[in-house]
Amino acid sequence: MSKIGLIIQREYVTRVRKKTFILISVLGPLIFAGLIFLPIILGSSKNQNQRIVLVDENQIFCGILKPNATAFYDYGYCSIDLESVKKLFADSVHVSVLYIKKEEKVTEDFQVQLFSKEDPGSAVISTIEYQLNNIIEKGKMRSHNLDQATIDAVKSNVNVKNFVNDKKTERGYIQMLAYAASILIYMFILFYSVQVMRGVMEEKVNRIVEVIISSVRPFQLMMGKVIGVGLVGLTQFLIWLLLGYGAFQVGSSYVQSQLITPNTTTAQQTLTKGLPVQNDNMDAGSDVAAQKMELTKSLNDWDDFLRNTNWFLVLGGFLFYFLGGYMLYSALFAAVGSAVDQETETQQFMLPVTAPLILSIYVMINILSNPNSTMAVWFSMIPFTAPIAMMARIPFGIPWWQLPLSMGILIASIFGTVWLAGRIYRVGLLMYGKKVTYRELGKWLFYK
Amino acid sequence: MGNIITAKNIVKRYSKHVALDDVSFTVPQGTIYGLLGPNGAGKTSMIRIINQITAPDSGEVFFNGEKLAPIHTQAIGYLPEERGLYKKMKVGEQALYLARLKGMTKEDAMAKLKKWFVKFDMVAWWDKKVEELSKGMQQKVQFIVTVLHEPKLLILDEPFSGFDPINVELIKSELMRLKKEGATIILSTHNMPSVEELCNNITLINQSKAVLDGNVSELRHSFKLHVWEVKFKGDQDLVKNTLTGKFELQEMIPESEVVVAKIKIPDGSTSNDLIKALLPVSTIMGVSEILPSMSEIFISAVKRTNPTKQA
Repeated sequence: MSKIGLIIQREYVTRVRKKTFILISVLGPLIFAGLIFLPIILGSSKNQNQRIVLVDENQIFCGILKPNATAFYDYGYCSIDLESVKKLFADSVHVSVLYIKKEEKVTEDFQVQLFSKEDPGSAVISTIEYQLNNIIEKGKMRSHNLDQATIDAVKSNVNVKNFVNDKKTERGYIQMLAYAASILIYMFILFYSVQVMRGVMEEKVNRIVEVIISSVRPFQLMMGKVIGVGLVGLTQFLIWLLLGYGAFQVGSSYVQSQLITPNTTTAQQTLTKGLPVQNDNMDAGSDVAAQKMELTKSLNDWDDFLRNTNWFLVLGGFLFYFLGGYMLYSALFAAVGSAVDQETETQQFMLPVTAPLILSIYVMINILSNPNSTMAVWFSMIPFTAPIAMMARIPFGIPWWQLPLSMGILIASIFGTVWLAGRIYRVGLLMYGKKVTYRELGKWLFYK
Repeated sequence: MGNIITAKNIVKRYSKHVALDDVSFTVPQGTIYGLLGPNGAGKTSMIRIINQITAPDSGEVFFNGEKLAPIHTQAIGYLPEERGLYKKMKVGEQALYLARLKGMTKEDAMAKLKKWFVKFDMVAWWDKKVEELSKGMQQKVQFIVTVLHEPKLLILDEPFSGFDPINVELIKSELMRLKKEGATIILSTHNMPSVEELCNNITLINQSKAVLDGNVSELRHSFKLHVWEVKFKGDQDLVKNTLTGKFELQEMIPESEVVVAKIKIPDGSTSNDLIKALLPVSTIMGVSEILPSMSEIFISAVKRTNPTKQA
């Protein structure tokens, strides 16, 4: 076996054998799913027990204003005396007083006041606005002699079906996919590049490095480590892919079975909360049927999404940009690891190296809503941001020529960066007890 | 036998200082060669150049007459001064890995490692993690890994540091055996008695320059101060009076039966003159010339070269 092969083998085997690798391989998808769904779960559980006391001097809304299925609060009793009610609930944190002043006529710009001990959250306020509007609108319609049937007939629900190149495009799901893919690529690049840095530091601090580089060239040692650790990342990704696919199969068959069961279960209700269901003023009875209809509808959209997404391109792109981005960054991290003696010294060099990665994440959020903007195109060409920016764009589909161009630039930059990092690495390995400055790093490039 | 290493006019500069300034020397095959010098003189820079860890800014190194090339790393075994092992890796696995990096096949490395582990009484350590071993034990592993691939040239930087006296003897006898089997050894050390004991030739590097080189016994003769040790029986005062004017008596220490005197013979006189002068006044038990130790040569050579450099 060639020497670089031996190094790759050692780096790979010692890491894959570790217990932490096996643990992360199994738990990783769970943690990742948790990270994605946690905000949804947390968001839906917030302010569950907020009570709202209505003080309506007009006495119009009492008894009409009711919590609906998706509201995060319920209504207490009605009164017309603001001061006494405020006094009564002076000590209750989870009670808000909704005060509607005496008005002769409901004008277009209708103002109400909400008094709370703690901020009730935007969901409560927007729901109150929505409900009050609804009631006032209905009242006005009735005052214009429109009966319920006419009102219902006037209602409309416009729904844009998005077609890109004659393919139905489910933006919501694609956005989720793009988000997940770019976050995953960010985590992979950062995690495994830091592993390379730690590996380099271990060899330097252990002082084994001088023995090794008397047998192999420093560049071989660096590349062996980069490739070996990269293969560990690849293995991890493949395990996650298999586990994820398995979990997906189990999950979708569970959802299918829930659809067939006639009775609503709590699981189904939780599920619907995560999906874009329209809030409407419905009774509890019709709620269930409507939810089921919504669920069937989103499942159809989901099927369209699965069918219309170019999975080959998404997975292929992920692999390329993971490996490419990893090569680019791990070479830099290897250089950082070689230049320092202690973990604490890495800070000063870590910031400039990780800055483009963090910038990519900010840009990515923007790209998700506008994947073909000028900014999106530029950031998917710059090699240091391309892995994340491109992964946020690929699921939406991109002009064909941009992919080979971005890949070409990335590959060329890898060669340049690896060469540069190698120059620093070979000098840094043997430098001990010195605080290294950027000036010094620059000089190392020209050592013979 | 030719020279295994020929270094010609080696210059190595770092950003702020010159590590090696026009250093040339040759290492004859089959000898133990001492590379000496104070801390920071440039020894490690020289060793790293021979190991092709760094390249000289100018000058050339030849290995057995060929210009130094990557292929030669397999014929060299290197034990650096600052040495370590992967702490979390198992001893046997790690030794095997390092041996294979030197170009050995798995089977060959395995067979030879087993022999060495038996010889050094380390078989029980094979599956232990390195971090479980004491420092001395780790040094033994490192020594084995350095010599396992039977290199033509061994470069050892402070090989005895960290060993107890028993293990120092063990390593010394291994070095002598390897030399007998044809290996050449470059030894960089501050342990001067071991230089006198082991080395055939030396080069002394001071302040980036080779200031002294040659055969160890020839050097000791060339640095001798013509001081002789005389053991005699007889009256001390009588002897002292006899020597006055002709010879320089440096010290005289009476031991149980005999008196031991250190006497410097001036230019123009010989040891025979000294004996002739002493014969009438004492019973001579023994006469021998005192050769300077390597340590004294080292100090005087370094002192001699330092002021000129600073001027």
